[in-house]
Amino acid sequence: MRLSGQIRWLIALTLTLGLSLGVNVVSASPPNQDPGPAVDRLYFKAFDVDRAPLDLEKGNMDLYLFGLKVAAASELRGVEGIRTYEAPATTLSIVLNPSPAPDGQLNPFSIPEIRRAFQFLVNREFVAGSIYRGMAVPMLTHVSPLDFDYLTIYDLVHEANIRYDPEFARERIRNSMLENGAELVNGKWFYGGAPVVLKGVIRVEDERREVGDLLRAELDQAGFQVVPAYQTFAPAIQRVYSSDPASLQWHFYTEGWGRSAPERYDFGAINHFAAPWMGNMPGWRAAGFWQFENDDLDRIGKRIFTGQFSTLDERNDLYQTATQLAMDDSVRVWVATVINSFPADDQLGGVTQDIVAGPRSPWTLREAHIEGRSELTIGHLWVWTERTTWNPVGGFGDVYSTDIWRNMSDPPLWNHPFTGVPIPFRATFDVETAGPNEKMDVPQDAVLLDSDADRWVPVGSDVKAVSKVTFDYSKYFQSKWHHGQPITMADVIYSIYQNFDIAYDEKKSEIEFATAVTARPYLETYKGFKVLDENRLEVYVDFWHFDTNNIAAYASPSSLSMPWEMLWAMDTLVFDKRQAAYSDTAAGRFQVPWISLVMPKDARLVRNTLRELSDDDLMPSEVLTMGQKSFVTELDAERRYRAVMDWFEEFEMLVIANGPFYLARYDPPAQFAELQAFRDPDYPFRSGDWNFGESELIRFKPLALDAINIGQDYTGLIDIEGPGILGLRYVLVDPVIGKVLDSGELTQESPGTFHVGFEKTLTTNLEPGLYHLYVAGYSDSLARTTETRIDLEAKNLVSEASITPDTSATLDTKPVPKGVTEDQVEVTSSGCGRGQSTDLSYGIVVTLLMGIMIRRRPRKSQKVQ
Amino acid sequence: MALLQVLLFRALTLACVLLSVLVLLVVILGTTGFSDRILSGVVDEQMRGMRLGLAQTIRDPERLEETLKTRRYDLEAFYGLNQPWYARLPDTLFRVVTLDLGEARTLRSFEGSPKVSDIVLDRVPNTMLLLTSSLAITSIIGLFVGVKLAARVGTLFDRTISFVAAVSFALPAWWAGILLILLLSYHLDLLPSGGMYSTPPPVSAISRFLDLLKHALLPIITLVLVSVGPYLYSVRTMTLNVAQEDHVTVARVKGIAENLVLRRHILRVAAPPIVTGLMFSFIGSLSGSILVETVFNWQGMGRLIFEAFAGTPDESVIVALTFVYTLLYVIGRFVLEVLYLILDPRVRYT
Repeated sequence: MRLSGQIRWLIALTLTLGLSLGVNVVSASPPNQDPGPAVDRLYFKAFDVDRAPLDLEKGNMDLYLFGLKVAAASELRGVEGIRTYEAPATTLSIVLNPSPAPDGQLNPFSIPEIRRAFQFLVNREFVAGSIYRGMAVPMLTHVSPLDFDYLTIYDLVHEANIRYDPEFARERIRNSMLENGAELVNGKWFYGGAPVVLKGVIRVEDERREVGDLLRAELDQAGFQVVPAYQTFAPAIQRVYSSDPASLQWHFYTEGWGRSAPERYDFGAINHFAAPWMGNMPGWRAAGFWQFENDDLDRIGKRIFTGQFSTLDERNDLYQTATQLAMDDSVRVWVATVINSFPADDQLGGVTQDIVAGPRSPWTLREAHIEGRSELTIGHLWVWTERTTWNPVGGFGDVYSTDIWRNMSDPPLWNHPFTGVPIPFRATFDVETAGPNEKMDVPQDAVLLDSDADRWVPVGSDVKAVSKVTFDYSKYFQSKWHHGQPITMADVIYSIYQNFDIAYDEKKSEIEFATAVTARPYLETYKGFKVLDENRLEVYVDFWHFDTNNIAAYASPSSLSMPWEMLWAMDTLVFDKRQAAYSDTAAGRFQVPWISLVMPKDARLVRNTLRELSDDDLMPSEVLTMGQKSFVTELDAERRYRAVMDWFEEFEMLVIANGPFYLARYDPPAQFAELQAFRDPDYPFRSGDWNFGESELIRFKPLALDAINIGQDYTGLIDIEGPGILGLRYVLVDPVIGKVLDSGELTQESPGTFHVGFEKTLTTNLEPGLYHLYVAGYSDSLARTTETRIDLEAKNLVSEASITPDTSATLDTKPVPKGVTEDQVEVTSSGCGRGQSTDLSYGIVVTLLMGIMIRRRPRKSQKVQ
Repeated sequence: MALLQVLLFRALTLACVLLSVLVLLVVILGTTGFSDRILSGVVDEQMRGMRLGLAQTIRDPERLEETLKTRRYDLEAFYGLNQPWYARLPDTLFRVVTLDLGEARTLRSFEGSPKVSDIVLDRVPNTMLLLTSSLAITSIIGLFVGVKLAARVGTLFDRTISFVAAVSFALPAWWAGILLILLLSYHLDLLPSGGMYSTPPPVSAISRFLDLLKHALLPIITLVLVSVGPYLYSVRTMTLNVAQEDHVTVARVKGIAENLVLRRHILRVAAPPIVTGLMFSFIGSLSGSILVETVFNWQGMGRLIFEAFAGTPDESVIVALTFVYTLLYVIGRFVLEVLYLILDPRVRYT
């Protein structure tokens, strides 16, 4: 059974992560217990990815935040003093060009049947096991088997019975090609007298080169002439994503996708990876290009995207239908989820391992430390790139800057590293909702911005909203910005004002066109704001989700990343003085600098602007007055202006935030940044507050299931361990015909113990032989599933013709009961379908007979001699 | 007067070469569609990233599409894709000819400036420190040892150095670099393995410069190692060829001191080809070395050129860099024309 390989890699991964969980507990205590981070200094420095392991071994860095190549990661395993954090942060797919060819030519991938057959040409187990050396998990759809939504499409995936079966694939291809007028001459396909050529764009920077070669060989054996183009990022994406699919400059391309944070309920990926309307299917929704279309998928995808469902079940039904349609299209064929490796000094403690991003989350560096040291050196591929721009409106477009910045700024909410659900970080919240079908009244004294008058005005009567979220910012307001000034409601209000005014003020939106255009549709869903007291803000919004935390994440109106005087000075510089711009496009249009607060030249412009505002005794009083209450005084303003100017004098930069570290040095030629601890006694968090560590994964205990007696009710128990409230989903598959016979949720007998039961109405229809019971464990505390396969034997009580499966290759010595093999422990004998017991019986008989014959033959020969 | 006329004519010819190269570049970029393709690629890539980001907040599909469409127009205007290449590129050409290198679309200087001149000025000193320093060292060793070898042809010293020169010639710079990093940095811990500054980088200007020099040592050693062999061998051969000419024999027969023969009759005659090589090596050194700079994580011109052409293609930088290097070539050629007159008494323009 081909799927067993997939399961094998899942298990290998589970064991790897499980083992790493068990053996890598670093008990070092953090050097600092004051408010703020665990260490006093963080040095960020660029290291080449190929030499990073050597630099780590030499002690030049303590943690490398860029994923290693597979070979390097494998070599590092077992190296004394180093451990690697593993995270499924990349997925691989093959996008096929489905465009019809011009008259007289044939594009095989324009035929859906051939695209579907291609699924069976992809040896996912080989990719995961050999090319990625076990550091990958096979994928059959856009949902990784490690994702929570894998449960949603669980039946679908198993029923599809997609496997590596080149003979089967070639047969399907042969039939389709002949039907479409092609000829097979000497093993090669010809159409209109010319060979059928497939152009493959194969990326060369990583293991995708080998994946591409593998596909090339399979397609070659299927009779196609394959012309590979080995290309790096820039030329490859130009050829694939910037050309009309109808021009057939490519037929397949080895894509790779990054994943950044866990998401429990997907709404974007299904659309992004499968629905044409989203613009990521061939044609790319570019004007003048041929477009791949699937109206049904678009319609369903949009419903998922916009939340047009009333219950989780309805959402799941939609998701299953959309995934089935995507599999029918098979335009994007999924290969594997790659496990990225982030190496670190094994003495490094306090690491939170996000289940998707690994240590590259906002949690890790707040808590990371090595005993006896007050500083850490964090390696990355780059610290500064040519695209690096630090400004909170139109900057932070590169991951390297973001990975530094997220240690300096506390977000109000962030996704939990294990569950993927948004949780309170520095703001708390209460959610009330009338959705999905009803709306609630917005109080008349709630306000919205009048961008012409630059002031907040009451929304008036008859305004309604779907949900209300009350944010409490007291954990911000108890502390200060890095420059020593208190964080207040004025900072919240100005940042909301800034978002609205750039979007709706005519003059501003003409200047920062890109920012305005992209913000408006989101801001339109806000229906009102109301300051309740000095800490709390009510936000009314037209958004619903069955998980209320998702409503809060959507409704969060301010990231509170910088003090209001900084935002105001930048606004003045950009929109009044016109000496800088927030976005690259505005900077290009108006020939002004793209403002970056780490650059002394740009920071000086902001400082000078603020000095002028200070000299003129100006402050945005109207904007900072909401509901008759002003949130700023002249004295506050003057202190803040002075603090910003002092900050510039000291650091020649103006990155002022509120998180556990502040930026002390930034040196682009040296590819270096230094962060120092912010030890304000009122800062609400200290070392240990956000140390999630590593998630406990779901594990199956050794299984003891009996065989199924045909015609009788069947019961059994499965035990699992894991965090939170556990559940088990199952699918019983007939491997011979690839059909799902039964599926659903297993009932819990007691905590961790689940009951498997099949009624005799089901077992009566079984033929003697092996059946596959796939079981996926899940938890409310984890956005990751763990799957295993149990081979159940069905036997006829009358004939008792069953045999005991081969258990000689099990990893442990626990007795495996008659009639049961279990992948989690055996990690071996695959490839048997139902009827294997019969086949095996025949095989044993034939082997015995042959053995007897072989033993007799010499005697015969001797006689002749 | 005749000399001035000749030099003026040469200068005009070289200016024509400069213009021709630029026109050819622009035509190739435009007619082949390369220019449009790289710009479209950049826009498409930004749009894909933006689509994912915006999808988190704009849940109305129609609004999302409208927003993306508007944003695409904005980006296309920014990259000049709203006008055809024959309207866009000639402007770039005329601008660079007037020594205004313009602004990069995607690349930036260390201080965040998009001006190509700022970007180049950031990188050239780094490259000069590496490439030009190693060229200077190579030249000194090459000239000194090469001339000595020419005087000792066939000796054990000559044969040994010739062998070493062949090995040096055969060594790929990147490979030698990796070997030296492993040896001198990771095993012996004598020199930094890469990058331009220590962690944390020194603050004062002097210690910062010394730190830079320390980091430059290993790449310079690498470059000298792979270039000195072939260079000294070519100097040896050129000097030897001249030494065997009749006028040298006559000079020796006349009883002129050997030092004088060497200086006046051999080196002065051999100088033009040697100086030509040096001049073009110098110009070449300013363009950096993509492989060596990559191996040593050095932010020089080689990496910039790679970024501009292949990494994040930037049409403005491509045109500007082509102009700069062609201009350097043209200036170098002109300087050589003058130097030939000074160095070789047999050269006379008529």
